[in-house]
Parts: sequence; C-alpha cells; structure tokens
Amino acid sequence: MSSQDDKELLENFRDPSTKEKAYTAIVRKYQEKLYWHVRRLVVDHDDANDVLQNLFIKVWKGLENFREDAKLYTWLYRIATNEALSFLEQRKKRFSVSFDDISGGMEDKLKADKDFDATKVEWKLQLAIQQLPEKQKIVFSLRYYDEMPYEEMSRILETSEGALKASYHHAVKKIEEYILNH
Amino acid sequence: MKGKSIILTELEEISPTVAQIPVKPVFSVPDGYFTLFPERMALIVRQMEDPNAEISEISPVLADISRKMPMEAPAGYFNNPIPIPGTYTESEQASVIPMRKKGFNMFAIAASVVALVGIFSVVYNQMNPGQPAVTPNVSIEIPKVSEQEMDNFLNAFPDTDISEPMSSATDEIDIEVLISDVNEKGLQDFLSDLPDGNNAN
Repeated sequence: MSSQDDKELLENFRDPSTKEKAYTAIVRKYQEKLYWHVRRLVVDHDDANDVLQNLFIKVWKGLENFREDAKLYTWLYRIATNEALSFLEQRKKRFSVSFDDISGGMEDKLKADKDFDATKVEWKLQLAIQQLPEKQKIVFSLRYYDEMPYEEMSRILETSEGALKASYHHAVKKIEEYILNH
Repeated sequence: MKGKSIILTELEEISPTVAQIPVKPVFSVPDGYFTLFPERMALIVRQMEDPNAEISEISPVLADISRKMPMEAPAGYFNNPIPIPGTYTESEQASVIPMRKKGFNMFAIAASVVALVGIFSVVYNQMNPGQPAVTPNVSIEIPKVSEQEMDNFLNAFPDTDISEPMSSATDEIDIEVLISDVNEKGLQDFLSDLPDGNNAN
C-alpha cells in the first residue's frame, strides 16, 4: 500500500489507454479493506456489496479529479464511510424507524448470521459495537480493526484528533460494560 | 507492528477486558467474492462508458446485428400535423343518432299492451262461443242468476247488512232533527251565503 504504488496507479488511470487496467488494480488493492470497513457498519453482506459497488462507481467517476495532496486510501475511506452512512440513513427513512430501531435491526441481522455463536466473545463484541452511536462505531472500527492513526482518521472524518480520542475512549468503555453485563 | 503496539497499549489502558478479545473477523464472505469483484466492477464501468458493452458481453452475435428497424412508417407520417380533438373533417365524423323522447316510448309500450289485450279478447270470444264473454254485460247477466244462487252469494258475507238500502231515509229524519234547533235568522243567513244554484228548496 505504498504511496509510490498509488501514484503510479493514478498516473495510469489518467492515461486513457491504461485507465481500465489501473482502475481494476485499485479495486483489487483496496476492496478487502473497504469491504470490511463497510461490512462492520452495515453488517449484511448484500448491503455491503451494494455499498462497495456504489463506492467504486464513484471512484471511477471522480478519480480523475482527485487531488494528490491527500493519500488515495484516505480518500477511499472517506467515500466508503459516507456511502455506508448514506445507506443507513436511506434505510432509516425508508422504514421510518429511529436509531434505536436500527440498532435493534442490526442486532437481529447479526443473530441471523449463519456463523453466529452467542457463546463466543468475538460475536459478543459485534453485538456490543452495534449498540454504539454511529460516529463512535466508525471511530472504534477504524482504530480497533484498521489500526488507523488518529491523524489519518481526522482527515477522513474531518474531526479533531482530540475529539476522536475521546470518542474512541467512550466507545471502548461502552463495549466493556456491554461485555461484562451480557 | 509499531502502530499496532501503540493501539494495543492504548486499548489495555482504557479496557483490559476488551484488549483481551482476539481481533479476528467473524463474518464470512461468499467464496471467490474478492476474486470476481474487480472484474465485475470493470464490466460495470465499461457499460457506463459504452452502452454497447453490455450486449457485447452477454451476446456478441446479437451485438453485431444492426439495430436499424426493418419496418417503415408511412411516408410523411411524422410530417403531418397531429389532429386536434374536435377538429375532424366531415368524412371523419361519426353519424349522430338522435335520442327519442322518453314519453314516446312509454306511449308506444302502453298502446302495444292495449292492442294485445284487445286482440286476445276478440280471439278468445271467437274460439269459445259457448263460454261467457271476457267482458260480460252486467245488466244482461244478472237476471239470469237464480234466487238460490243469489242467497248463496249473500250468505257468503255474514257481516254485511244487506237490508240497509243504498240511500237511507233516516238521513232525512236526522237532518230534520238536526236543524230543529236552528232559529229562523240563522237559517236565512246560511241560505244567503250559499251560491244561487245551491239554494235548498
């Protein structure tokens, strides 16, 4: 994931003769990281697939105008986060439900997963994450699973590092409380 | 690894419980998903750029066939102005069927019923000369009824007082009794209020 590689990919993308090849290489390089980031937010595979597809269509349309003052993966994470949040927002409007109901729906989706095992602490952790407010959920996911520095996270979420640290702290405490009580 | 250790240390400081949970994926992905996804995305963007790409991908044979329609519209069809409703030529207008008045129909039905009944009556009388007419004359038929038959008919209605005449003489007696208390002046006033033709004798 070196920046040199990304620079080369971007150059190839801007060349019409190598554009599609460079695009496929970008998809191949980032798809798994972005997929899991989205999947942790929307839970369901089909939903994650839809979001990921829309995300990469936006990449195709907007990559030519991408300014290289930011890293490519930061830009991709920002689109992925916004797409996932838009998806959840649309679903909330479509079913006219509150955030609490959405959390309940996510919990049901988790429990409906073919691999769900309530006795395993990893699944308890997933249930605990779904209880968090969306912003805390994103911050926890990026820090805990993607091991992202606050500096990068700050660029993606356009939030100060201090606020992100506080958000992560609250999220971890809430998760701990949930795991100890369930 | 350095970054990871910082994150782990941070997590252990906040919550040793959460830090002990192994970081491993719990969700599964369909087999071959990440192998096929880049190709699928390439196809999608190709279709976005070139509308023919989709049909070429599905059926190259169909993609090679010309899209020109083999049928033709009549010459000048699209040049003629579109007719405005209500502005048709005389030959295009449908014939107007006048609506008859409801009263005429009712009269025709009533006349038909009367004619049918009349014809039926005449035919019935001609076919049954020994039978009484459908519309017998009462003044002719009553004298033919015997006394015994009349008694039997009247006895069939026991509650009817057949001795009471149609015009009772008691009416006159009652009137005399009723007006006996009326003085002369009152009677004169009453008679003078009546129109000339109605003056009692």
